[in-house]
Amino acid sequence: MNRALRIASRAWFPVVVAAIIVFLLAPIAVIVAASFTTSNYLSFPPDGLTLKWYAEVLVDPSWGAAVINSLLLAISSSLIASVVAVPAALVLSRRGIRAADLLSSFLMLPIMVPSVLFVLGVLLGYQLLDSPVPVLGLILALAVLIAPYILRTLLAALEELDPALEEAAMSLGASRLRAWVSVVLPNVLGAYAGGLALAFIIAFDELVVPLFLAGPALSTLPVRIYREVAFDVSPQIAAVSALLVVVTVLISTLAARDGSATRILKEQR
Amino acid sequence: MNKLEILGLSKQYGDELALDEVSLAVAEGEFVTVLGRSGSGKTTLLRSIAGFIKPTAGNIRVAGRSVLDVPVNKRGIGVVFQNYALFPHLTVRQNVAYGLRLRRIPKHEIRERVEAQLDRVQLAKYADRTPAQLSGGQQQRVAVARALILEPEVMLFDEPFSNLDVRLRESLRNELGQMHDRLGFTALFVTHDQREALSLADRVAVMDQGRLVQFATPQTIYNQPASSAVATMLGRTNLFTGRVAGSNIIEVEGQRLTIETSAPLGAEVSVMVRPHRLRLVSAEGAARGPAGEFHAAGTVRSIEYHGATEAVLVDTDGRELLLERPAEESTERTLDYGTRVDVRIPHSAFQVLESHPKQ
Repeated sequence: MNRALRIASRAWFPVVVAAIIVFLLAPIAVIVAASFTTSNYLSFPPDGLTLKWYAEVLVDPSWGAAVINSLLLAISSSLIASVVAVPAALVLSRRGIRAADLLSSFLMLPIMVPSVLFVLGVLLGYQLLDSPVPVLGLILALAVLIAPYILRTLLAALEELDPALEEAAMSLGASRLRAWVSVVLPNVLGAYAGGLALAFIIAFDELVVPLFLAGPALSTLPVRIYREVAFDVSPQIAAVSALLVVVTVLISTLAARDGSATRILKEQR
Repeated sequence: MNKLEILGLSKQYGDELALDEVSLAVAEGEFVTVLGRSGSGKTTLLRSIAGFIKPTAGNIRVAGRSVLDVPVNKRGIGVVFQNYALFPHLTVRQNVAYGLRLRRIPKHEIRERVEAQLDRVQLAKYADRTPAQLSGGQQQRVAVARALILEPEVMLFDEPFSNLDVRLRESLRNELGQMHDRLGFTALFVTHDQREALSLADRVAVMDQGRLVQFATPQTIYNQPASSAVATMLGRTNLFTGRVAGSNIIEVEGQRLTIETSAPLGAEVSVMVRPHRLRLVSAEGAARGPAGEFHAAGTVRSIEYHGATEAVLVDTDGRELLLERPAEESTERTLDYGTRVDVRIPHSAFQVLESHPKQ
């Protein structure tokens, strides 16, 4: 702690911090600024100020459809991921489970494997079945990808929890289930919400998986942006991106209230 | 009347016997401490009584009834855990009310009983705080109040002070003793700290390798330990090997000492003297001490200053004797490393330990 304080008091420290913040935020600032341009192509600095691109985006039903697709995919895949990750975290947090470490590393694999590889595997699998990838396949693929985030945050919270809490509740008259519901659950709910928010954002922002697995009829927001950029560079994209940033910031602020976001980042090191 | 009876309790883990036919009884209102090193079986004993572990053999009776088939949540035993295990998401009041809530007691009655209990442990002012906002002493009181409000037959304490620093530990120990005096519950307190075990207890149960090796008052445990294992567990001590040389005569290092013993003639026995019973006289004193005293000449090996007392290690012909004396004496006669001294020990200070030294 003292050492951290000493470093923080150095003269160069604010400069470095400022540089990092600029580096992280500059692209976002550029995109947001560009979204207000009056020219017909993406340009920075903007030639003038207008909200017309936002209006176009909000009026164009294909953007709305893409947003809804992304939302539905994110919601359904994070629910499915929860169904898998929550019980897994509960079991893995129990002491005396053999190979718990191995198992939890295994469940973290989707984060380690490049998503392109993962997606190719899924595609090849369906090719063997001689079938196009159904929407459910896409949802499941997304769920696999995001389940580790829920698992990790929840597992960390459960492992931090004093196992005596459950025993204390039982010694006071609670059944195992009751002890779990009234004592364990309330103490890990925040962490679960944080993990869920993170998983949701990742599913919502994911490009590679829907790009490869979704048929041409189903376009998600990131896919739509990607395709748009590939063909022309309308300032519409900047407007969409700016909106996306706002939504993401909102969700991660909610998640960060519990500190779970920082926790998962620590786990990832 | 015995509130808690443990009868021949054993617990086997694979080949290992964690509890080996332990039997002991705790009377109503009594405070019993269980003293043992880690791995002595004391925690297994406590967890078996609480119902977290199923013993392999033996019986546990609470208020006269066997509780072996009664699940944890119906045993009527209060547990105070290491670190207290207070529910972090609940306030003090909600923590204390937790057990009553589970019992479908009318709301107004719960409220009354909780308030009364909070008053009794002087926590009324802190009722709306969460555990994180409490001091160690306050947390302990919540933990005791939370268990005690259910009027358990027996309270179990699982090394509640073991993670705390010495000063806090002492004040919490003191406070727990006072709470027990005031509220009069029946308690079994598990610890590895001999000072805690001696100061809190009406009786101390000493455990070693899964067995109960002695169960007696703190005074008896300290002054007449049943074995050298018990003797060393209760603080530093001097152990000798002697041979019974006559009726109540034991020969130790060539000197015939008058010590009460029931061991047969010729038997080899282990003999103990606590460090504070040793006395120093100057080396130029007579080579032979007065009758009724063991004597040995030696040189000072080390001196540890403890404030009120000091501990002196004396090397007498290859064997070391530990001596403790009031620090005032050191100003009268200063000792240095290598000072020649004579050690005297009254025969009455020697204590025969029951066990054979080689066992």
